Amino acid sequence: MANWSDLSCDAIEHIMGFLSLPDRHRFSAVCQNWRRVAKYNNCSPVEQLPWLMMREDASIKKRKFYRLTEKRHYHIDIPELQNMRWIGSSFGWLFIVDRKFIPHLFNPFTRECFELPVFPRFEEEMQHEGLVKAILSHDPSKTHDFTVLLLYYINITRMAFWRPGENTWSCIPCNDYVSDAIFFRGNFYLACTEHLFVLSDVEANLRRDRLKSVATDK
Amino acid sequence: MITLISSDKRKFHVLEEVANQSLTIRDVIEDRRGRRRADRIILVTNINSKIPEKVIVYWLRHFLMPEEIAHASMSHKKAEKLKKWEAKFFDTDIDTLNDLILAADSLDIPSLFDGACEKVSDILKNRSAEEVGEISKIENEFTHEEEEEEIPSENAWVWRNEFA
Repeated sequence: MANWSDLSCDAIEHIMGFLSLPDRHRFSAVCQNWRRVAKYNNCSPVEQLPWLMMREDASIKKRKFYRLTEKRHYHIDIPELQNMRWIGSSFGWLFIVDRKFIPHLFNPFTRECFELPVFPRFEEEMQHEGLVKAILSHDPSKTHDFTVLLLYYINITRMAFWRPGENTWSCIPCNDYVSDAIFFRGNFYLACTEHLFVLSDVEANLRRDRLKSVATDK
Repeated sequence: MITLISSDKRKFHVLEEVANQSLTIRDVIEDRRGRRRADRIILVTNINSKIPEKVIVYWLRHFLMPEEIAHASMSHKKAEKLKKWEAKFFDTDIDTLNDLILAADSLDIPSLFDGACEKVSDILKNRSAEEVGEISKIENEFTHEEEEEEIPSENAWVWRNEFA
């Protein structure tokens, strides 16, 4: 009979790849070998259902998360999130804004964090309350080719895009009220007052007239 | 015909086309092509005879339904059937799964490796480190310091039940 400790690092890593984050941490406390693999295996864990992130619990200075699969709360100490405003999340990455109004992408699982360019025209007019939503097209842990879409509000809803390597945000004027946005199978979709818009290629669509209406509300 | 010999000296005769699902065996056959018949014997030293039996059953099922066909043009009904068959195949004790992983690893059979690993992860899900230790019969070999301080503090939020 083979022994469990005979499993190769590849096999342990592969098994770990099927586990959620709490399971992975528990798993790493089983033996030295598993702990080593868990430590150097930093990819985002699988999770079927998203976790609900709540406000910081002021008394213990910890963020409260709710995990549907287990129906239980976790209090997680994430100092990086202190005094940050949270605008959106995709693929386990959080889009957060600090007190100086500088946006960051932060991964609470791997603790990676990088700063994004300052917002377009933010100094004069934009306010924290004006930030509506930010979403990502792809997982930054897996590819450098991703797009951040930001919805913000100054008199009307506006949109801005950013991609790695660019120094500024690219703004798209929009005359309609955009209430929500999602990324699905290669396209951004925008829910507006009267239309559902699709932004198939962000750069080609920087002009408003290229926005294609895919559905009309009655 | 290929002959596999397990660690307890049992012999298994398998068609080359079937055994080809192991990338290791395929490479060995390729290397030895044109040589004597005796060279078509492959020793599987680290596993007992129960495992080659299971591996061959797995091969035969998949030989009848090669992966490429399985993904490209298999009907929904057939796919469901294969899924059900796999679920039953992997529904075994954790030591057998461990042996299957070792065999799939050394014989390089990606789909078997993947399936067995996923099943093990299913068994380990939502268990404490102690329970996993008991199931797997692994000695943790942690130092006192690691056990008392480092591990509980590293991801303190996970341990609400176990340590706090």
